[in-house]
Amino acid sequence: MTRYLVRRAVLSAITIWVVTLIAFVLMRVAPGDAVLAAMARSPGEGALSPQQMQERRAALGLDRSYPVQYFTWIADLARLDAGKSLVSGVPVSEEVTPRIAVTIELSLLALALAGVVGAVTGVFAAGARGGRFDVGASFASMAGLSAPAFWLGLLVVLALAIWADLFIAAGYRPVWEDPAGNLVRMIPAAAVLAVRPGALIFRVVRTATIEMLDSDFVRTARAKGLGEPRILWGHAFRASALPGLTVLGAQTVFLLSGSVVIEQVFGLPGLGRLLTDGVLSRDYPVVQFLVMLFGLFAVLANLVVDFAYSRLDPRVRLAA
Amino acid sequence: MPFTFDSRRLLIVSAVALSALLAAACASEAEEPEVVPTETATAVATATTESSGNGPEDESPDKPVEGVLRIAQARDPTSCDLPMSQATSYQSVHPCNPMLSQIVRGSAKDHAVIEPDLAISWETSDDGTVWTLTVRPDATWHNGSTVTSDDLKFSLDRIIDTPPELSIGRGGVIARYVDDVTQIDTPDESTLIITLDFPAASFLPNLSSAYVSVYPRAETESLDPPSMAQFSDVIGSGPFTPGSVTRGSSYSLLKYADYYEPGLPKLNEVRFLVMPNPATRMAAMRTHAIDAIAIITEPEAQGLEKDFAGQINVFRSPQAGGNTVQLNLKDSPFDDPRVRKAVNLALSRPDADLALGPGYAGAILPPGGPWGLSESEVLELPGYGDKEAERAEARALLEQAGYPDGLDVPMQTQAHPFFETLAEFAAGQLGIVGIRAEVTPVEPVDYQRVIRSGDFKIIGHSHSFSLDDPDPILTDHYTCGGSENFPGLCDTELDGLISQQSRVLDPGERKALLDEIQRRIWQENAKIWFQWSSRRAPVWANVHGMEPGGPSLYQGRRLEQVWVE
Repeated sequence: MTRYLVRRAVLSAITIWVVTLIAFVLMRVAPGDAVLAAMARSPGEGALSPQQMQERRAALGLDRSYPVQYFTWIADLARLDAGKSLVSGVPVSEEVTPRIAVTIELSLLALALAGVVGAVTGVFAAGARGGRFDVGASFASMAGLSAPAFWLGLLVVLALAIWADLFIAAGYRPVWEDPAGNLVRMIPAAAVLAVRPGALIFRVVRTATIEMLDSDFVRTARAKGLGEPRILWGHAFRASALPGLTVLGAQTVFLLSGSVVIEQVFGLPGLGRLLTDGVLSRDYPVVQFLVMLFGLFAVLANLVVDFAYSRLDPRVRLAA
Repeated sequence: MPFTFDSRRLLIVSAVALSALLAAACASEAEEPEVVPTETATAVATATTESSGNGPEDESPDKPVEGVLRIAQARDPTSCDLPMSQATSYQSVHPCNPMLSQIVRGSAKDHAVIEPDLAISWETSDDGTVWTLTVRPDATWHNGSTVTSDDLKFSLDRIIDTPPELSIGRGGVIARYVDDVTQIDTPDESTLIITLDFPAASFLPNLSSAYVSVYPRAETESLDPPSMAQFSDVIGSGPFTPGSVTRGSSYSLLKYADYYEPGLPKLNEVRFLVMPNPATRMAAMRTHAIDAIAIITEPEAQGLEKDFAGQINVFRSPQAGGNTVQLNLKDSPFDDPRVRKAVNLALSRPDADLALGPGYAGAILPPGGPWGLSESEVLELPGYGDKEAERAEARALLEQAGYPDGLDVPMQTQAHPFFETLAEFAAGQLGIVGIRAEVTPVEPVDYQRVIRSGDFKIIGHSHSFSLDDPDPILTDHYTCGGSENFPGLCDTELDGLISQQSRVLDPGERKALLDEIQRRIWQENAKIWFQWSSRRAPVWANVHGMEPGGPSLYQGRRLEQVWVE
């Protein structure tokens, strides 16, 4: 176990390092820099002269060679200093800290909704194969996979505003300040974000459960006189949970990236919006740190899924 | 809360959702452009502020109003140190300006009228170079200390001699009149003496810019870097103080009880809500989750006018900015004046109004302001004549220039729905006379590189100005090496005239010189304005005192006179 953990830790560290390198290179390959981006945001007059632009670049450290910029950033990171935003001048940690809770809360809520609703409806649909519920749920899952998240989100925002007199796409409140106000805004956003992964989980769990229900051990269980609910939930579902879990793990990364769009529509001040703004304004320290963070989340999610596998199926050995 | 269902609501939801889907399909879902789509139905519209509904009453209540004003905008304010930031758009000015004061300011009702602010009076020497300003004694910073002339000097000094860790922004115009910080003197706490390099006609108007806001010396210098860039850090002397902030979501401004204007501000709180998605902003407006948006597109405005007549006032006013095609004078084929003139003659201004939404006819300086050419003068300019005759002349010019079969040319523009639309329109117009322009959208930051390095033949581009003043506009856009002079126009005689007008103190004489300059620039056909924009600004009818006060989106935004029923 310890050997496995050490090996995973080393591999994760290498993965994260590669991610930082890719993020750094991609941002430098993108045309323009923070100085030009600032002028793109404030067009019309008073732009800097070429000489002033060079001075500004020097002040921001953008005139140094790429290797120097990269290793300086890595060295600062090692000292837990992620640098300062090139746009606001605020330390990156201060930019990220208040937003990280938003994205994590949104993603976890969406993950829980997708996992629970997708799996439960998948099992029920498999149990009622060919019935009205199965057909309805299958149709809904296809619709969920097809509907663009931003469009669905906008519909939810409008529907709540017009029919329930509740406008949720403004005035985000942290959960520790106003739990009710927070959940009123977060749950609809999480529900929209959960639609696609939930639909995928539904389809995978349904298919796997149907296969299990046709298998020999289920037939044996039925022959022993076990009730249908126990067969469905105690045997078939347990065996079909593994593919569902695989999808859930893969969708964790989707949820993080999907939050970029959902945060825009629902007016949530999360990491996704910060990343979008950072890319558009060539805010290198912010983007590099966030990409690294997202990489870290993805690595951790995969680690959790691996451990969950071993718990659900004793035949899976972590060291293997 | 009860859910009710009726067909009208369903229709509204469906219409907005469909619009959002279409908009997203046709466009990147970026924030609004700084310069917005234009409007007006006729070729030449009158440059006045109009409201589509019942205009708000000017009569304010006798007693303070316990009101909260909610305004949506697309982005967080980048910096509240307005003079010292390169990335400040109106989305920084609007939330930050109500916390700040200026030395003098443009009136909220008419930006061209300069009013006392921290300086209650001023006088100039006979030669117009020495300005003596008297600082009001009753102004206090939000921490209770008194505003002194030294704070005003400090605020000007940092514009003239910018600290190395900061970057000068739009407020830098002031440094064109005052070379050195030693030219600003404070003989006592209530007197500020500024000695200009020359008698500058535009000194006071540029001093009134929202970008020349005043900051307290001691509190600013105690920060590292010395800049009140963060909203929460601001200690100003304006009518509002910083309230709660959730970055990426909301910025609250609270009434400052000791504001020096008696009885003001009228509102208890102003809340700026950050909504990056345009469709979300419109949904918030339609459901009255917000009270106002600073600027919206013409189709959005028309939708509100149709569905909320009498409930939402959708103001229309001239915008200090508009749409251009710009030709690279240093490269073929536009180094030939005949080809450039053909481009101008090909563009139909009435067609621009039809295709892009109504706008205003103008030349080089914004129409509707004190310095632009009058409507009748504009209509005399090449490009505003009989279009068939002008297009025939354009074809003849192209033939003379050696292009009897027309020419193919790449046209670049910023990758943004609005820029792309204006470029496609212009390309279509040029095609009529045989200039076949292929539009290529360029990523916004790379586009800045393209236009500033002259790596183009022709661009479709929009501009907006924070101040309707000849000095920054002419200097930046039309002098040799000007920061926004993308075509590379360089005429030393013209530069001399532009410098000269800056020194003419008599307004009539200056206007005459500016008219000559504008006609001369127009003849160059380098930066060809084919439409000046109008601005649409929706405000719910229960909000009073938010009428646009002029063509600038930046001036008169202190909100102290605004109240909510």
